[in-house]
Amino acid sequence: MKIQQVLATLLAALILAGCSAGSSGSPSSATQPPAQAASQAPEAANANTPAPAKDIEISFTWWGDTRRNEIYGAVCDDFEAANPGIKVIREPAAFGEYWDKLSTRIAGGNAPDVMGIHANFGSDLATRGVLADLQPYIDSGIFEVDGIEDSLIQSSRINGLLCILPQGITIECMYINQTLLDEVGIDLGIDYKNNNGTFTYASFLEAAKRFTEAAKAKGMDGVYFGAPGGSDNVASLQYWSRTTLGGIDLYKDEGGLGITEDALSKWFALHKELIDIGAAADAATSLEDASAPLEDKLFTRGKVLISSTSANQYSQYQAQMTDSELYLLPFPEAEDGSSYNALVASHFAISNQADDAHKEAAAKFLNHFFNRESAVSIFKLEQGVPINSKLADIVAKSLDPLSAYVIGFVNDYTAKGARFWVYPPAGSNEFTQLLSTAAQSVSYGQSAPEEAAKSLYSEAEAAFAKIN
Amino acid sequence: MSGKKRAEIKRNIAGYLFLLPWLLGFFGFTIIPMIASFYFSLTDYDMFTPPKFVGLGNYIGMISDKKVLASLSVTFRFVLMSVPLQLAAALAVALALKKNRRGVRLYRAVYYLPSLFGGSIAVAILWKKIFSQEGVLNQILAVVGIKGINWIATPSTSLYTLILLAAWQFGSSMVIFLASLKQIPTDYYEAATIDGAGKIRQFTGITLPLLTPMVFFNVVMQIINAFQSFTPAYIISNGTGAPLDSTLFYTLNLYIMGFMRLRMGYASALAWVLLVIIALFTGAIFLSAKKWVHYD
Repeated sequence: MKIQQVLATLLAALILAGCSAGSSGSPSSATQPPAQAASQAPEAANANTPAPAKDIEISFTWWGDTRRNEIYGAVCDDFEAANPGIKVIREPAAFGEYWDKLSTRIAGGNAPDVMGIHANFGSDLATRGVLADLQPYIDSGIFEVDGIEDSLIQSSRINGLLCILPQGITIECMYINQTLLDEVGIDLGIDYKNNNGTFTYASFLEAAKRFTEAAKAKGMDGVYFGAPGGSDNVASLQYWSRTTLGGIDLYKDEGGLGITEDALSKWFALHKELIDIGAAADAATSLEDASAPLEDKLFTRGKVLISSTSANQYSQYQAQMTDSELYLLPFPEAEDGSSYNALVASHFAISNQADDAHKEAAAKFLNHFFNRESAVSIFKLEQGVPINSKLADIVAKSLDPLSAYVIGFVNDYTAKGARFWVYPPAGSNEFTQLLSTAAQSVSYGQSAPEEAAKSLYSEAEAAFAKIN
Repeated sequence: MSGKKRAEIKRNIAGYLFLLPWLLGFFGFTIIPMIASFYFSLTDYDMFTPPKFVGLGNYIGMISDKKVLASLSVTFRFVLMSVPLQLAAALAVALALKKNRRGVRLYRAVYYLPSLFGGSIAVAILWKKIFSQEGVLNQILAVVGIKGINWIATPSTSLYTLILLAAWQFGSSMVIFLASLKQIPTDYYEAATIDGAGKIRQFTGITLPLLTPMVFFNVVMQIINAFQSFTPAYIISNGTGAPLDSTLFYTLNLYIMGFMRLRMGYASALAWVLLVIIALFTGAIFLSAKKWVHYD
């Protein structure tokens, strides 16, 4: 009897020990922030100290696939080699789950020290005090800005606070499949091969009609011209509004919608017309295409002439489409020739929840990422052209022709005035959701463009009013 | 006296230790989060700034929220169609596999497999492949000369692909039916045969009434499961409830509100309303049970 009791107690203790061992081995413990570090040296920020005296661990999260994770990992290795006292705990996630995970961790008070931030989420985080002010690290020299254009730094401010930095600069643009165009046999009369000119929205529609008829005449079934960005895509709508409304942005500087219900209605009508004439895929096909992996997309399979995404993905597309010749061209320009090209970027930010020592180590990490040739040579064009222009030039020389073409495209159009526009205000996330619902109701023929615009406008106003 | 008590505690200590992992989980992962979520449901909470108390504001806001109404409609249709279909399939297969024929064990395992996958992501992706424009289903239809549609991206059919997915996972109910079928004494059937009852009469007169306790159990469990179903809709619609909210399950809307639109207070209120809905349904079934469940 007694032996049984002793055995049972021992067994129970074993199970408990097993549980706790299991949990401490789980990945969540990798997040394990400040606790022990908080007690370690609140040493004053001294720019020239090579590395903190004691070891420190900073957590770093980004989104990406396996290929991209390897690149980020290699940069971390490079940083650790140069900064022996600092260890980078890597916590990559797939884009789909990235934001849920990040919001949950921030809410729980254990945000990663360094995090990849997307424009739509930046404001929601920055205006709620989640992101650290980076200015002190520039002032103290930990983060060097010699090679970085000041305008870039200034345009990264959200409500005046410098809390994000672009990982690289790219342009949201259109991709055209030259091989498919030649097959259909029409000429667009645009010198995009030399980064010189693009459509207007009117000429886009006109070309769409010509292409669709020519493809039909040749008996090419299931081939589409494409659209200037999806009707549910905020960046495309933003671009369209600046171009057709004479520079008026989708969002107001102070937050809220900058365009009218009527403008939204016209945007939906444009896309409806493209579907109606058979130039763009029907709603169901587009919906399936939107979530398809790169290799299964209609564009990749040579079924769509024009698609849109950021310029830095060019190499990846071209690698998938070895039989096709691809070119980049900007979104349509205004009738008077003015263009409103937008630079876009994914950013880095440092968590405000970290203590001073961790923030400082994180700033050193970012400095290494942006300003060391070894790091930039690894990262290359992964998120666009590096922001340190001196290093970008050095890297450009060693690049393959495809990447060099992308750098050329981004540089040419930056020289022609492409710039960062209004940073999406807090609540833009909510607008993204609302736009998607409204755009679908038009493309599926459930509501007319005017109706969809009307309800989208009132819902968006209500959503923004709630935040501001 | 106190010596006795001490001995009792000593005797029970192992028991409590065995319970401890479960208790820790119960309090840490169930009770405390539930209390927290109830508090959040009374606040305006964006996860990053402290919650602001708004009383019943979130609950009142739901009444006029189009997304909530749409998601309720989708979820009710899903529950009311998938649960009966699933149980009918489970019962039919259980009846077919009742007799000990050759290879019947293999069949039982095969039919049980889908429910092992449960609401897994892999199955949802498989489903997407079957019902897409160029999916397996349309390729089969093409053989007989029918041009199929994109079943998942068409608002009028997308929900039915999810209902089919749920019905396909009938394995666990089937196993329960099977066990119960085997317990029905064969004398009943022999007596019925002598009295001239056919197969159908035997089924409605003997099998079904004796199975009602298991039907009851399965209905309750599957309804609770169906209301909480999330993963298939999340994967198939890419986390949006698309097309046109036709796959916007209640739980998916809750997730979008909490994590995409950062309205965690509202999402918590949605969760509590779901709890009440499930409780009402379960309660109603329990009340009705007196009328149709026969314990011998």
